[in-house]
Amino acid sequence: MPRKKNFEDSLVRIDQIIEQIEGADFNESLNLYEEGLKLINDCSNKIDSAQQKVMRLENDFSLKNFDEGDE
Amino acid sequence: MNNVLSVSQVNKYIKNLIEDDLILSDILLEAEVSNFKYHSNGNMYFTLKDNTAAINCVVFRQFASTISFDIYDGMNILVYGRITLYEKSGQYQLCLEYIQPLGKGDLFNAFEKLKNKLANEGLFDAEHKKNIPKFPQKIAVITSDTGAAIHDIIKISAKRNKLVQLILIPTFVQGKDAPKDIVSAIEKANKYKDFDVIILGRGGGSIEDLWAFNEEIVVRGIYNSKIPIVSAVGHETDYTLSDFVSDLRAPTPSAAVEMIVPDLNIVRDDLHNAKIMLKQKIFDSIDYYKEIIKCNYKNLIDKMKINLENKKLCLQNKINLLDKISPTAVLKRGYSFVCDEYKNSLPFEKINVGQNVQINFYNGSLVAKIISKSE
Repeated sequence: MPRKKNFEDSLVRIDQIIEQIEGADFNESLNLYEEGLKLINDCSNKIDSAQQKVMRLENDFSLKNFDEGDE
Repeated sequence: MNNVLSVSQVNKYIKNLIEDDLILSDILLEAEVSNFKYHSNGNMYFTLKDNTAAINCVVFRQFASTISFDIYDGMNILVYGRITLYEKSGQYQLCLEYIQPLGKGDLFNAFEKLKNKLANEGLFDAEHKKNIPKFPQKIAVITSDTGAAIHDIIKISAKRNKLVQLILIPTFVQGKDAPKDIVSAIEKANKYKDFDVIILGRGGGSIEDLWAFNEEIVVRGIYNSKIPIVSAVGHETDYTLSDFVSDLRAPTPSAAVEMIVPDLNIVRDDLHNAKIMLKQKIFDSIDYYKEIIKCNYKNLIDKMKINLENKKLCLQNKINLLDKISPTAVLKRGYSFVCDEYKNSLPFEKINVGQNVQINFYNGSLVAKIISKSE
């Protein structure tokens, strides 16, 4: 199953960009800057808008919301 | 009016009566062992007694062979099983499915024996342990759906990282059903397949309370899991066999979250710093290229200047040379030349007496009439 690894991949890419931007030629460094800035903003927004999801696995493998007060 | 029955019929009747009874099929008992015998046929036979009564017990070979602790007369144990009737003798007995030593001494001994047995099989070897992914997105939490463990896990997780999805697979964490339940939950998690890691957790308790996490089937269940398992049982000083076989041991459920869930607050700060660094680097880059352009421009200008100077010099040289060989230079040295009134050249032969000629000096000209001619 293809895993949605966007967040982790983005962080890795940001590190890469910061390393690469120094040695890049002029056009390349502008592109890297644009890409890097977008990634940083996307990740920051994702963190700020995240809401915790706690579920419970049922016997039929479906997921239901889990509320601590329920039981 | 009674029918005349045979012994077999009576025993058969009693057997059905006993074995259909719900309570007699579901007996949990705490008692003292006596007359323990491990028969050559593989079965264990002993009596369980309290102060006033006793009951015969049997542990059949299949289960008996998996028991790794010693059973001896005088030992207190917790057992679970059902009553069966041995028709041949008319004797009823308690047929056991589960035995747990009671009393800390016996529990520790059982712990040590099983630990050594499983260690020798290689179940605790470091090579077998799997790595926990750095950024788990879906975490299976196998624990009781009430109690401190799940509460702490949810709370700490919310503080650190709201992106991680927690999925609870509730189980019993103590009692006779706990070992089977835990194993089944691990298998369920593996079947669901989407999990990055499992937290197997339980709050604090005595060695009896935590005993399920020392049971052999649980240890094997953890070993066989394809998904990495973090064992988070009890308090810091509690060690269970689950801790040894797991891919990672956490001292408590809260600690488990701290160990495997990255703190997004730190990531947020890192991102902030990354942005500053990125901007710094692009400005440095721009400044660098500005410098290069400046330099190149200056070089270009300098080289053009030199080029121009050289050409000027060259031109000047040629002018000087021309000057030297020009007729004007000759004239300046005092010579003059003769031509006709129209400035056409006049060779000597063509000049006649009485003719008007023009005599040119460097600074002026004269018109003269020829008086005489001699060769």
